[in-house]
Amino acid sequence: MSTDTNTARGKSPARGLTRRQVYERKAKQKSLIIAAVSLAAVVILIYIIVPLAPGWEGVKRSFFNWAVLTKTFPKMLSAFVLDLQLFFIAAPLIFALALIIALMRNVTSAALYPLRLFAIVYIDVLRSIPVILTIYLIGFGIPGLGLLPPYNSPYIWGTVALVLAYSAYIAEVFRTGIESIHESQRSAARSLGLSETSMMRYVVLPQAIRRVVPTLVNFLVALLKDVALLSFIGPVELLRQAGVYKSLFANFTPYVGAALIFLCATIPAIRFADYLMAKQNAERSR
Amino acid sequence: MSMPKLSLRGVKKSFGPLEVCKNISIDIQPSELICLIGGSGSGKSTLLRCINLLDPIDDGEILLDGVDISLPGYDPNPVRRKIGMVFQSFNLFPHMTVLENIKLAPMKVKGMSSAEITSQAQELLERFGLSDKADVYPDRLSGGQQQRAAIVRALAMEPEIMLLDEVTSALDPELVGEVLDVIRQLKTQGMTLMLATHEMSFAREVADRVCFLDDGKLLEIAPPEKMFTAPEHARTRQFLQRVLHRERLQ
Ligand SMILES: Nc1ncnc2c1ncn2[C@@H]1O[C@H](COP(=O)(O)OP(=O)(O)O)[C@@H](O)[C@H]1O
Ligand SMILES: [Mg+2]
Repeated sequence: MSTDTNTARGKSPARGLTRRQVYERKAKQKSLIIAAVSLAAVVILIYIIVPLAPGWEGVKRSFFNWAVLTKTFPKMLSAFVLDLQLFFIAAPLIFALALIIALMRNVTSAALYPLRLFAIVYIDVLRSIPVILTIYLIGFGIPGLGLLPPYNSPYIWGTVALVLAYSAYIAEVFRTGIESIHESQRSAARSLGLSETSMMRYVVLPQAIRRVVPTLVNFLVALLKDVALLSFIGPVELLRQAGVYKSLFANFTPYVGAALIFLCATIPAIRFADYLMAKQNAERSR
Repeated sequence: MSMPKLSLRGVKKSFGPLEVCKNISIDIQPSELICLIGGSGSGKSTLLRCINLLDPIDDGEILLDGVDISLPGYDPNPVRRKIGMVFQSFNLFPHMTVLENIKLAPMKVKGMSSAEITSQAQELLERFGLSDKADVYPDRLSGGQQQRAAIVRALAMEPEIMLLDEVTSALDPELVGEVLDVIRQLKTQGMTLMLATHEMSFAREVADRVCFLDDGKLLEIAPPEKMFTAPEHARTRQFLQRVLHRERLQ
């Protein structure tokens, strides 16, 4: 009996695979098949059931209209370039400002207490106001002071509003990262005679920033989407362009098109953040 | 006798209501090796951290070459260039290679050029058997190698005194020897050393004097032969009996 199974096992691992590898390979195939079948079942169900809804024909015409999509898509893509431009201007400013605010929030010396207080108020206030409100208040309020063109542009003040709002969030991310670096690293740096500034710059910050990179990528994704909020104060970026087409064609398909464009831009970034997070977890548990 | 390299005079340190150093006084001569022994929580690490000015003392004086370095407001950084410290948990910077770890302070604190310190660092690494580890990140090293790298990092600042806080306690038993060898080398070169340790036979072998700390008090200070064969206090005898018994079992 036992010799039977042994010889049977002895034969099966072809091409030098271990018994464990053969087993794992079979288990993997099995779970792939189960996943594929259940996914197909769900897709088929949706495909059959959704068109049974009484309003389906109407929804199809006003949301999934191929003719409208092909007509509007190229112009919407070029409107998205404006989103990207605003994003790439805002992002570096946000990181720089956030880092400064986080460092101000961290100062301990009594003489510099006003800096610390400023950072605390800055972070608290800007994090407590909805981003869209900050955009309205700054985007309409500051040009309303009577600035002359081009300094009254909603492009400028909208971007400033985004930078202020996001730098408050990201300053908190940096601060968490800084505080997560173990006290023993600071002790070691101090015992070598490094000044507080050198310790921060060469020992604490590089480790802190590395630790929060996945969170930062997630905030970048949120920022790319929130650039669309600027459409409420003027700039004709993707969302605004889609709104214009919606009115023009009396059809919602441009919004679906805009959603598709955002999806294509953000999903790779989200997956990248997941990958970074998994990599860090693996490193930490090693 | 010459002027002591380091003098502690009535050093007191509390954390809140907890008195951790109770009126500690010692004079340490140049090139002397002092071992601090005592139970866990007796204040060994705190005393070493106070000497390195990592924790401020509440009362008393710490004199380095006769100068009081413990005055509130005294700039700690020049003092730390003269007093190196190595920790139980190594505390290498994980985002830097061994060589970068070693070069950081000499470059940023002493303003040495990269080339200058690199050749010096390589010499040190060679001397302590780490020459092939210069470009490796700390997490790729064994505990013993990490601790030796941490010692080299402190030595690269060319300190006059080294404080070693239980540098072998976090190591697997078979790695302890290589780190103890490094300490023997430092003693041979005439470094002034103060080390907290649980390695009693090592303390007996290398120490010029042994200090027994008990509950924050410096209860007894004696040459090793006396400390380990005829201690004065009952508490010292009790402690030594306990640890020496454990050491024999290993
Ligand atoms: N930063 C600190 N804050 C509060 N208590 C501390 C701190 N560091 C050490 N202690 C306390 O001081 C006592 C002595 O600790 P320590 O110097 O680490 O002793 P040892 O190194 O001899 O084991 C312990 O009771 C410890 O809990
Ligand atoms: Mg200790």
